[in-house]
Amino acid sequence: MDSLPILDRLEMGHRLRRLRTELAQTLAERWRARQQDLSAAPGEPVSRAFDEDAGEHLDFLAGAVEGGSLAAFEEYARWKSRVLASRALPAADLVQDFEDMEAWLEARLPSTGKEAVTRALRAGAQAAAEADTEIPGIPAGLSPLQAVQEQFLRVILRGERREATRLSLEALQAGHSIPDLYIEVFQESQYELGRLWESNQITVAEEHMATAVTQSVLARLYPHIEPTSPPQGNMVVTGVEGEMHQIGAHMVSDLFEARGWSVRFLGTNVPRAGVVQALAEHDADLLGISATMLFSVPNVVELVHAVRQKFGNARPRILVGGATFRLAPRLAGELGVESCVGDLRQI
Amino acid sequence: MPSILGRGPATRGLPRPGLEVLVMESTELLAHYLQTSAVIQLVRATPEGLVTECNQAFAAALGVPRSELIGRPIWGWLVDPDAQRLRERIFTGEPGLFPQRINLSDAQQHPYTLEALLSLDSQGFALIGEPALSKEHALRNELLLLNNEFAVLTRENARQNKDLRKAQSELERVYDELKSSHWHLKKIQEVLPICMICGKVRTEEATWDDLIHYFKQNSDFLSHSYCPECLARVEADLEPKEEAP
Ligand code: B12
Ligand SMILES: [Zn+2]
Repeated sequence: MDSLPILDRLEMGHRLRRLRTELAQTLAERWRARQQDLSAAPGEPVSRAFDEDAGEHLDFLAGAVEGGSLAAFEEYARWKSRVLASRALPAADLVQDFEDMEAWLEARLPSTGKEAVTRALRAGAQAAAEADTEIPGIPAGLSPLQAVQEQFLRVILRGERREATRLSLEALQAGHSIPDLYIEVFQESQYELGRLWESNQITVAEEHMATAVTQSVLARLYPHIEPTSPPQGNMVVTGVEGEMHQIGAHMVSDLFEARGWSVRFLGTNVPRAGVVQALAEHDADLLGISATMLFSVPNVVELVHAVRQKFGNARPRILVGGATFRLAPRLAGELGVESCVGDLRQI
Repeated sequence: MPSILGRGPATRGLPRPGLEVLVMESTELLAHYLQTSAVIQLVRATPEGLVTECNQAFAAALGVPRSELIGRPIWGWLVDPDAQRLRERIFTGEPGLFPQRINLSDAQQHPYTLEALLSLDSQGFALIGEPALSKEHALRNELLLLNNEFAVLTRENARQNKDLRKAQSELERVYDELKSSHWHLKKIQEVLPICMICGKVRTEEATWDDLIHYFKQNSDFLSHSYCPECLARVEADLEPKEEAP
């Protein structure tokens, strides 16, 4: 995977995604063969979401290949086994799935890049077998805003928008900066929501509500942003097509605004043509691209390509960030764009 | 593995639109399958459409013993929204997924419709049931999109307001400047109150100021020049003097 050029990796990713339906059937057949046709026994709950599982396995496998990162697929394997374990589902199926996939894909992939796929699947099987059910968290007691963060999380989980806003404004009045508030309170609470969902302690509905509250607090704080530097230029920030995670991009927009950039935030899941148009309208010097899911890699590549094709290589500069680029750290360099995967307050 | 956080990455976490809630009180088992799993295979058939395998629960929902279904054509149950296209695909052998509806009736003989997918591959067909999506689920996802959009619009609105406020305060500053220079202009255009004896003028602050000093202070609009007499004098001063022998 390390030596394969990006175009070959994208080609392989594309090939993998197309196998979804067939793979779902194959996994189903092999699984049922192992279960000795349990569907014959009435009353047995013998369903598994094969189509969904096959799609997810392939999406992350393709994303890891496209992003050129074995570690990204291992990360998926660990995450998926934690999700399964917390829902009392057998994580052993996962290891078996990856083994089934390796055998089945053997005859279906061209030799170029097959090695990378095989290695990812083996690494994934290994990671799944060894996965810890404990979700990695943050060490407590590091932030002076920790008390506010804990309170904020409780409040957003109850859907109390006003109280969440009040808490945040109070922290600003107490002298905490917008960047500290964003990272240590909002980001940390959002990450915690992810852990709570992953470990089956909150429902999707609760996560949606809490996230909606955080978004509304962000909107209320915008007028309080006072640029601390002289004007830096015009910036556009967007999430890629297919990506639903929007808060990261929103926070980046505001944090760059505080640095003196005039930032137009487009939201996420924005079609390429819309981004190109906004860049022209806003006469942008800088484009920020946000991506969270590994399966967003092809859409990131296509967006960068579309922007370069329209405006050339010099301007706007392109800066990428979000979990996708943490999982696939080589990608930014290969695309010739800048990336920021560390703490935004440090740049 | 039950569906988590909505549907899988195929639909990028969003439900396929148009799926209806399926309430099947009398056929508990199939309902149970469809509620707990995202997708489940109901039937497999040969390329000619003859059933080779059938899910027990599905047979129960059809009200036919499973053994009797084997070998029978599946066409009878399907309400194909696009039969022509489906048949073309069957003949070309191109794989794909086709939305299908199946007409069933429950134990009280009330008809109901099951949403399903017909999956086509080289080995034949598989009929795959979709999970029953609740209205609540669909609404939740709609709400999510609206909420994202709302966040963008609110920020954009605030940003434009901020720009507007910046422009407004700049406007106010220019206006104040203009107003004060206008005041001076008006004052000079009016008759200047000047002392008949010493020649001092009265200032805006109602004090009395030396005429020259007053103009030096208040006359940005005056430019510098020489009157003919003074010019002559200045020129005379500048002419090279005869050096004393
Ligand atoms: C809220 C949430 C959602 C919401 C998002 C709503 C919204 N309006 O944004 C919804 C419900 C849509 C959602 C959906 C899904 N989610 Co989700 N989600 C989350 C959650 C809990 C919080 C995300 C968030 O708000 N983070 C806060 C922001 C501030 O953090 P951030 O994005 O990392 O951004 C920071 C940096 O990365 C950086 N950055 C980000 N972008 C950029 C850009 C630039 C230019 C720069 C410089 C920097 C930068 O700066 C930011 C500030 O520091 C995360 C948990 C997590 N750990 O992130 C899961 C999480 C990301 N989701 C996850 C999953 C699995 C999904 C789904 C696939 C679930 C499903 N089966 O349907 C779908 C996929 C949808 C899609 N197509 O994208 C998993 C991913 C796991 C994995 N293996 O990759 C996570 C980690 C949850 C978990 N622990 O299991 N999700
Ligand atoms: Zn004179």
